[in-house]
Amino acid sequence: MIKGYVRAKSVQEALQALIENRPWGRVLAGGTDLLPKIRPNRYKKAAPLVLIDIKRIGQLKGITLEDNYLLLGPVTTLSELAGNELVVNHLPVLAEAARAVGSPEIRNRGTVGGNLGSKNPGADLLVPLVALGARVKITTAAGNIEADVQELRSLSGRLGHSALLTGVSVPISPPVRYGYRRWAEKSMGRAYLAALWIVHDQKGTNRHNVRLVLGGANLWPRVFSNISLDDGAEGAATAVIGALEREMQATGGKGFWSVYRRQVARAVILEACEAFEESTRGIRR
Amino acid sequence: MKKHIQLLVNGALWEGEVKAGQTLLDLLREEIGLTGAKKGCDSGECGACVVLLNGQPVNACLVLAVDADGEAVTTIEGLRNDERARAIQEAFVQAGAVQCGFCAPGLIMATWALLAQCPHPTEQEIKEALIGHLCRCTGYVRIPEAVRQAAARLSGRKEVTGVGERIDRPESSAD
Repeated sequence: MIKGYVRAKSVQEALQALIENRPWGRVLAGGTDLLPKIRPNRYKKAAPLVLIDIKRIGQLKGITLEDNYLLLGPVTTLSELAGNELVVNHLPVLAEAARAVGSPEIRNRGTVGGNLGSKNPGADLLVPLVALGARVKITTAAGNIEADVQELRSLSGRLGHSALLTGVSVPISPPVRYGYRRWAEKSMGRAYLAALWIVHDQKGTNRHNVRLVLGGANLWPRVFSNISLDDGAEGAATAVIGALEREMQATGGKGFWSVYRRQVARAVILEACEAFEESTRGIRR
Repeated sequence: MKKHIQLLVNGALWEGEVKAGQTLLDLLREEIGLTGAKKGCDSGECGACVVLLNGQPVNACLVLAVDADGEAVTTIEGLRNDERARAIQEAFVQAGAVQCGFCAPGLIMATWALLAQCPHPTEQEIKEALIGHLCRCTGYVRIPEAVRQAAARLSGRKEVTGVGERIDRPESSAD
């Protein structure tokens, strides 16, 4: 139950409020993920949550280009991200992923930080950010921590509700070709599974580095590097799913994986590959 | 815990105390008396509660009232004399896109925002703009048809609107 609200005007104020309200302080950005989760009938009534609103913190807003990196402010809305010229020109896959989130109404409120902070393994921005090698900046009372976006889950687990995502940086080179597809159980629901094929062409040669990032198949997006397409997309999908199953058997993560999830994963991987092939022929859907 | 906020609701200043967890939708319906925006799913999935916040469509059930402090809110009631809204409403009636009417205010707000940004939307743009709206009566054929008709009615008309103008004041300090 929401018992309090603090509008932070700076990162320091937000951190201070999180510390003062521990363990009930929660960061509020767009609220599109957080508010449905903490509705009184869906959350322990005894939890006296205090929301710390970071939307008006100027340094957390906006998108800039700096030294071949796009710097994304965590309170940038998904609409702003999807329509931003720098993003559309340099990282079209990120713009496409942002456009896939919910509805225009949700994108007008939902933010970059909220999408990552929800820790949904199929989160639409997470999959391309993992694929592109993005880095995140997390600020705590003790200082800043910079890490690969791949480490965000373990970091946020360790830091709990006393840290703030204060920046996301995405390298814009080298340029890539890609095919992205996501599947949700409801027409505008969260992604259940998302697949992104990403191809780096090696300059001056006919060689390519093909990678596949699969979100929602495990607790965090999984990157498969140096994929061979010698047996076509079907062969690659079978190899990827087989590798995932072996991995889960070895690590005891089998509970997350089901026949249903496997079938959806196969379909999404193949559709993403089809999208990639269409894009390379210049026929984007 | 209550907070004092100010809102510009349909062009008129509203001031008052709100609870920390109160949504903008509940404030509009239960305290301000504007019941045009409907309470459906209360989780941002049905679109019945859509209002314009600073001219942009949002789900009022996913906005805290305290978070909207200092902003301009436009509900369906605020579009009573708006030429674009009138054309949209007429098109919805003519296309048979309204039956029980529960989803209509949200759909009209979303259509208003779409046509403001994109006066000649494609089929895909209409579909994408309305993806966050559920209608259990008319289905999903007549509604896009109504949007197309509205766009056609409006093409060539010159419009003047004050929707989305914010309260002119220094940054508020709600906390």
